Amino acid sequence: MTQRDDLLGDADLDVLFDAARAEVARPSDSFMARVLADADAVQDSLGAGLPDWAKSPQTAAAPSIMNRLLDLIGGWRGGAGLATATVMGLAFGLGAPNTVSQVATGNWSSAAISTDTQMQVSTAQYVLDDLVPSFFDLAAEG
Amino acid sequence: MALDTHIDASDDALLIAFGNGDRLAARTLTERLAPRVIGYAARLLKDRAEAEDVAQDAMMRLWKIAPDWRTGEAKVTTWLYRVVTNLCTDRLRKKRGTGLDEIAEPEDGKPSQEAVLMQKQRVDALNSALSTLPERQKQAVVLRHIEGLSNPEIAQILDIGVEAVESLTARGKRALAQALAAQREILGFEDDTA
Repeated sequence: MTQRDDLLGDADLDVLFDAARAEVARPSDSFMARVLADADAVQDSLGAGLPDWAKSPQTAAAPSIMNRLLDLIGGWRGGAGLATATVMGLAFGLGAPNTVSQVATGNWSSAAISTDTQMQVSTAQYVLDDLVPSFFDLAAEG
Repeated sequence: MALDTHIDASDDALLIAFGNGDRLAARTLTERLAPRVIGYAARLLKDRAEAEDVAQDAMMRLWKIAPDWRTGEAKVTTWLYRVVTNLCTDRLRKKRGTGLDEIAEPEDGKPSQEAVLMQKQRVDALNSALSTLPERQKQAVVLRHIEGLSNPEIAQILDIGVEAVESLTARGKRALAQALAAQREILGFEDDTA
């Protein structure tokens, strides 16, 4: 195909298009800052209509004191463990005095009593029932 | 969404993540899309500062539409080019009252090498020739030959049929070929073919 003087050829035009394509319009820092500030503002307004659980961490309401305390002890798992330990501690505390007094005063089952010396006390055999916490006193108090 | 997953994510996924409260998605999308948006607007407006204003406006519209964005209905880039095209058209219409001569010329760079100088010369020549085209021709040529979009995408952006796009780009290219023919020698095409 013959080249016309009054027209630039397709190949030459492509060279110009390539040159234009190679120019990257890098955004300025101020442009980035402005656009990201816009994005933040839009996101804040979007978050305003959402419930707390659906908000982003940045826009969600501050956690309550109860939630903060729960976080301190390791979340709901830690809380459940602490509650169990508390209940069990209370149960042992209420049930133990009978056992303690039995052991401290040597008031254990007669089948296991040895009267020879005080040293023999340590070798005495307890009946299982002597070591089990008793709630008898608590029950008696009503 | 973690930073490394942002880099691989599609524009669609990032926009939806933004709508769901992911702030990092905004940064990734801006870094990815802003150069294209600013470059396109600068070619239409011939003013870098004004192009950044248009790009900021277009990005703002993108953030606002994020909660309603539906995957697969349109490409984010196509939607954005369309918004930028309309914003630039509005600005050019307002400017027409002040006369085209008052539109600022692109900033001159400081080329340090012959190749860089030639590159700049070619881009300036092309931009000057583009500015002589009717608005729709210019938009179609830039989107097709510089932004590299397909004819159906350009049809969506300009809100016309594919045949109309083909016609616009063909007439635009011919007009460019005429406008630039006289500068053939100074644009160094012989150097490229040698």
